[in-house]
Amino acid sequence: MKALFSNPFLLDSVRSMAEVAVVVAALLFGTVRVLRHPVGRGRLKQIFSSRGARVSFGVLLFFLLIALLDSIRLPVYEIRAGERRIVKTETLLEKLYHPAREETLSAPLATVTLEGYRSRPLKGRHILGTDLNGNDVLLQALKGVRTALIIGGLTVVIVIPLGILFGVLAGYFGGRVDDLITYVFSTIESVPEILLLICLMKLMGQGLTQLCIAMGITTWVGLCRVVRGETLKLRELPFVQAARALGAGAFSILRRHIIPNVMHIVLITAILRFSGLVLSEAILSYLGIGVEPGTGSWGAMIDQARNDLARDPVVWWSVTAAGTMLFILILAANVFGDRVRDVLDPRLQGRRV
Amino acid sequence: MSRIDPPGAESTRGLAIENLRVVFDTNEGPAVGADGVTLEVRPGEAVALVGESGCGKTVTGLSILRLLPRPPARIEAGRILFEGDDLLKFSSREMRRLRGGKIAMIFQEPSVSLNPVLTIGFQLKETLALHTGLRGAVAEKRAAELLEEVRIPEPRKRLRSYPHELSGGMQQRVMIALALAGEPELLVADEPTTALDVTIQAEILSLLDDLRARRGMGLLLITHDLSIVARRTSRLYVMYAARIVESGPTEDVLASPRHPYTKALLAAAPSRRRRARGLEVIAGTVPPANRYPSGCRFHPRCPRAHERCSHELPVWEKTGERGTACFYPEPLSEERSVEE
Amino acid sequence: MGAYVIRRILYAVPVILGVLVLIFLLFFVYAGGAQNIARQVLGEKVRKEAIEEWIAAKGLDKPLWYNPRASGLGRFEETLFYAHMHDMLTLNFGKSWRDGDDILEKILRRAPASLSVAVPTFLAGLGASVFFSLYLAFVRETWIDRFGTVTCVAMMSLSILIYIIAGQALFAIVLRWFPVSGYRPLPLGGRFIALPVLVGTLAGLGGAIRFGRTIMLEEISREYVRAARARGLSESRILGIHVLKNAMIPLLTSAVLSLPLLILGSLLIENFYGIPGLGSMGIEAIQANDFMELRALTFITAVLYQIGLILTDISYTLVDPRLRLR
Ligand SMILES: Nc1ncnc2c1ncn2[C@@H]1O[C@H](COP(=O)(O)OP(=O)(O)OP(=O)(O)O)[C@@H](O)[C@H]1O
Ligand SMILES: [Mg+2]
Repeated sequence: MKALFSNPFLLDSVRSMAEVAVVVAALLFGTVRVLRHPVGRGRLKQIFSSRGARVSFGVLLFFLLIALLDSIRLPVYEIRAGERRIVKTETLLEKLYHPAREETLSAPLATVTLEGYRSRPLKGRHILGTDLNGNDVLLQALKGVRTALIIGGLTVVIVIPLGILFGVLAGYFGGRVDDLITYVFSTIESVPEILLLICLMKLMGQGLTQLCIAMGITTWVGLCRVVRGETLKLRELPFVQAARALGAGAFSILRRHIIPNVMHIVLITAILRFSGLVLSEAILSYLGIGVEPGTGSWGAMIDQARNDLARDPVVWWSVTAAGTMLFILILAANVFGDRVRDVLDPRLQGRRV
Repeated sequence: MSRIDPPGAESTRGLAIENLRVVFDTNEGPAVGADGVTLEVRPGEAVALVGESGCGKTVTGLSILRLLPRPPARIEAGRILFEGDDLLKFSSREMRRLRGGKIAMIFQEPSVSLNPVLTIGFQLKETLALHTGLRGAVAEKRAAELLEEVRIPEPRKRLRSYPHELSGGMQQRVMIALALAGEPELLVADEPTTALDVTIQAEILSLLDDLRARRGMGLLLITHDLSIVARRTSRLYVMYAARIVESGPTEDVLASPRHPYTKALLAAAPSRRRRARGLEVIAGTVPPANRYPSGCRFHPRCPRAHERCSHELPVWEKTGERGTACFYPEPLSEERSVEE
Repeated sequence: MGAYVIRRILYAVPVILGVLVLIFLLFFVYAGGAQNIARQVLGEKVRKEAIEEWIAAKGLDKPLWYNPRASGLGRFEETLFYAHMHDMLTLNFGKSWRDGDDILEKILRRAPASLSVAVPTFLAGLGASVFFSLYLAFVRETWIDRFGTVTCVAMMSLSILIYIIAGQALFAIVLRWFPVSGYRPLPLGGRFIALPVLVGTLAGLGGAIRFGRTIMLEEISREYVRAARARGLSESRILGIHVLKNAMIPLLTSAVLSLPLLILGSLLIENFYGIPGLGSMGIEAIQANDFMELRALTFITAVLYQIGLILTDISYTLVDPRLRLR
């Protein structure tokens, strides 16, 4: 048993599944909460009454499925000297789609490598070609999905409770508490986000976890500010005032009246923030301070392919594949987020039609 | 430009709304803003349109200038005749010339009806330039005259003020001055005093009265306050749930209302004469515009409602100058009908 | 007015100090002491003496917060924290770790290149977004409006990386309108900055137009617009003068708040198009682990951001007479 847990491959698998499990669990939790509430059900129906929302949600689900397939790691055994050993792990995605590894660049659907006179036949067909190291571009693009979703999803899931907590505290209690919290986030805010991310990543080193932490810090600020603003408004509303006059404690007012009424703002911010996080990850990985090499990231793909763009013939497929995947994911998130905002934003709610 | 007036020529002068029906397409289904509204304002005449909040007074007023937001508003039926022309057939350019020109309108909240970031002078002069072609120093002079006409002290200085520097009453005077810039023949005043203090209310109302008399301009005074229409208007229309329920000379209607709604409204109004009796409140609430009841829309709240009222729409019944839409109206008192 | 400006500036002071503390926490405390920093910069396989030497040369051989070996105030003054705060506040940014140049001089030398890209990008972006959002508000609820809105969302969904790469491929390589990369100082270098400015403007345009359109539509639904229509003013005059002047406040705010985005853009754009400005200096500093340069750049952008916020607040009072009284 002990040996089992000290096995590095196994740890790897557990971690990889846990990361995505947190995101999926949070999504399920949120959905169940919304469905149990009649108003929530109505809003949900309204959100999905638009075709754009349905399509974009479908795209997001499809991406999630790819990420799930890419999170389930299975051991690869090898029998050496009569002993069965784990030599490495492979994700389900890699088991399902395992293109041959080539030696170097090849164009989409080509049969020979792109190496001038010394072109050699390929071991297999590659729909989107291969990169300089001979890796299949399609597989790489698919592997980028998981990174993007973890970065966006996990960060948001971790930050939401913190953002709500501090935002609500600052907004509801005001005074010193508010001054302190506001001071902290205005300070963090006045360092341009990308520079702060760069500094943090530089200091913490590359990696998915580090990225989530760094982005969590910058995301917290925005969420906290929004929640604080909304709480300030809510605090003055008659039903909160009435609850206070009736002697309800601060804690129960926060739990019963304030937090449920900031949730829609939190949701809108979170969805729209998700796209920002995915885009930032691409930039950081492009700068070489994002995820570790080999994790699979669209930013890293673009970075690698950058030099090949100057070749003749132009090696366009890597950049195009990564850019397109990035575009589709962000577009889907933006369209869905817009719809959610249109339905939930109180400022638009009053508007007829 | 000569036009052969059709028979019954008087009625083609001034404003005549016929059978106006306005519907709003909302998420909760169609809402009726005005239904079969028929109303007339003759040149130089002051007419009141009275009703509770939400009954469709503003909708009626805005339809005249075709200022309803579209969508959601739709004018489904009716005609709006001004000097014999149907405004609903006007092109948008003709309509724009009319607005602030022959027909002007002022609104309930002067504080938000003026552009907060432009000076009074700027807003007056741009309106003058549009309708009279005056520019430069001449426009400046005319703008000051207009402010003087609405009794604003130190008009020259006020031209350089921003709206927030004026009190609510002064702002409404500025709105009136803006309305006068195009020398209108009809002024639609949509609850011009609701947002103001009582003392200022009286000043604004008498200002409007003076201006009407002096300029021979028609005035459609929209209000929910019956106590302000006596002596200031010659005729009165009472509106309930998007329909006109009663009309007639103001004095007569106030003295002997025929429609139970008018009666209830009068009883609820805190007028000097009735103060002793205290406030009588109309039982029940105004139904929402997307769920008006069948039959007479007042029947759920009406003390005299019969079975028939709940499914049959009462037709408009005209007796001399007066008219009402009720199956069981209060009888006209003897002496009055003799007088007519 | 003057009092307001002074109060506004005083308000920014604690934030700037907070930023300095934050930077210190990051670069000195979190980085794990001089030994660790030296390892990161010099690499793992360096002799111990070389590391000690480097640490002494860079003045990192002091305690962080408190120096028990000094006497009197020196206990606080002879610390890294004091040195950091003192140096930053006196704009004494020290020498670059990677080439020994004075960092302030370097920043001043490189600033013109950055400004010659950033200022036109900011202005073009503001102008274009105001123009297009006004136009979309003018044709609201028509197919042009819907098409424009969809285009904006699509433009927002493209990574800046794609803008940079595709911009170069399209405008410089295929169409050959601009040089592929490089820089020459203005006024001669117009050709060189045109592409970075174009790309930088396009990258921010989608979001800016969409935001502007929302603001305009909100403004259009106000009562003063209805009153202006009732006076017979034309729709274009109402939008172009009445609505625009009111919308300028939120538009200006969002333009200033998007300045950090401009910084991010300039980081990548300058690096990719070979503009020798502060952005590419930042990238080089990242690659060389030059914490001194990163520290100075972070501080300067934070200060610039605060100045931007103050200028916006002041410009409000120019646009909105209601605020002038304060
Ligand atoms: N933009 C709109 N969209 C949908 N319905 C509307 C709209 N404007 C008005 N209505 C409907 O038309 C009805 C009449 O409204 P209107 O504003 O004319 O009332 P009013 O008599 O002027 O009341 P008040 O005294 O409050 O001004 C309302 O009940 C409302 O439901
Ligand atoms: Mg009204």
